[in-house]
Amino acid sequence: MSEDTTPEELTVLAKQAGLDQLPEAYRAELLAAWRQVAQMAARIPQARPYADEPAHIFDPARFTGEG
Amino acid sequence: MPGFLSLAEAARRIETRDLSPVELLTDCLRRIEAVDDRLCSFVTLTRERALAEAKAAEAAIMAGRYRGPMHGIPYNLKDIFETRGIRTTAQSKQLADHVPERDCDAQERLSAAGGVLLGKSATWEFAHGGPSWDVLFPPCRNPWDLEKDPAGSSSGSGASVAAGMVLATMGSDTGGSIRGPAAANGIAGLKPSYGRVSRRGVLPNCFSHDHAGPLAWTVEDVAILLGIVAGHDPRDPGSADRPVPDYRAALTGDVRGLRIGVPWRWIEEELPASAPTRAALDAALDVFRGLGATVQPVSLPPLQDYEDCKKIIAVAELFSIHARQLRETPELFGASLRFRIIAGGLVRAETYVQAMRQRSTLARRMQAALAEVDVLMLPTGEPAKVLKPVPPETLFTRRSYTTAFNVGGNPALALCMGFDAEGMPFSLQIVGHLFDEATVLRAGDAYERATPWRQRRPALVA
Repeated sequence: MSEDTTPEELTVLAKQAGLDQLPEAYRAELLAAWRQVAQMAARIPQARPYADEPAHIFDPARFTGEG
Repeated sequence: MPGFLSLAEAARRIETRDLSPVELLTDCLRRIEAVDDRLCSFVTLTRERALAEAKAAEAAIMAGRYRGPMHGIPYNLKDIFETRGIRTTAQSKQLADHVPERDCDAQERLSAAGGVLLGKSATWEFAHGGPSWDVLFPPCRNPWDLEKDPAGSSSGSGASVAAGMVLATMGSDTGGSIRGPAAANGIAGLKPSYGRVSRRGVLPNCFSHDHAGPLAWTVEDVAILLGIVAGHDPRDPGSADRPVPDYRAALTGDVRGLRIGVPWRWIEEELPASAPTRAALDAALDVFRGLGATVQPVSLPPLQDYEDCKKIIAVAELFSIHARQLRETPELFGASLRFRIIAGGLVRAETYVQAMRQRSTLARRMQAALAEVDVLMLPTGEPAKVLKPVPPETLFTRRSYTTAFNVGGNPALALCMGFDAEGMPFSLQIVGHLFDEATVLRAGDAYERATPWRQRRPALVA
């Protein structure tokens, strides 16, 4: 999906996100906001080495206290 | 009345029994009563509790049980820091009745140090959406000029310190929310290294980039506060188990040989500083040269790369935090915050993970650039402008000098760098190596000693 997302495409995306019951006014907000976010997402580099690790690697020792 | 005092000055006088904590608190309350109905820096005032704590501090000190520089000092906490028995709203109608059962880590530490909690300070909604006129409380204003923006999201923290209503405060910084208000209000504020200060009990904005940290009138005050709130907290999975040095002892005033890097491409090309801000920066660098430091250019990845990476991660995490409320009670959010988080539900998992991989790359490049110098220096931003609603898409489109250091996790200090023609503060940002807050604070303190900027207070509260 891109910044050119149509209202019809938005309906599908909104349903996947559990936002299909949003009032109409907020659906317009969602479309406008998504067009902004999609531009940023498109600029995130995709081609990376296989072993290029993300910045949030799980450290089990940090999760030993009460839940 | 004791008049305007820094935390360090007040602490010295309290320790020598030249100043009573009750007298100091009374002076703070006098200023609050005089102007905070217009400034709106507090959202909750805990007057009776503070009076009780000040009296207890006074009694303890008179009995020879002085606890240290925070003993008897009035402070507030940004209203996302949970406080047992005191409403903590995040400035949101979603949490209008939220009264926590536990204190956050920072409150535990400040209380144990003998501080006097005077209340909760205004924030942008959930430390992210603002300024807003449709949330639980009106937006805070700037004490240097009530028509001007105090910046966010730690707006009330910055404004209340500048106005002498408290001598210390805690804020949070996910993209600049400590440093921006510190800059706009002409005070000092430190975003410590990621993990240096516990976030336990601080309502989240974006887990991956949230930092808690102190704001106060001087860099020395910030060093005192950091020494109290820093330290490992096993109940915060992001907390770093690192030794905490004596930050105040690091304030030697000596910056001879300090190597300062300046990311000129950011300042001159990518996000050009205004001519007055550039002149203020040049003058500050000259001060450091005069103190024996050296200045050299450094090259960092483009600002836009940091902005995109941070905001994709943030919008996805924000949505995960607020998803239920967005689905069930979206009308209880202010329009600004709702716009800024609602599309996070549409970000694909692949995009989020790729942004996290990009963060690894950008953080490494940040540390590589810093390896050539001791600190970076650059403006924190531009002087405050008129407070008014901003187009909601602004958060996505604007670039800043602050966000990159949330991505890198580096300590970054904002401090007053003079005043513009309208009397609004300029701000210098000093960035250090990971967990080297001591060098950042030493440089900032040396600059404050060499310049007259701490002698001026907002006329509003004179």
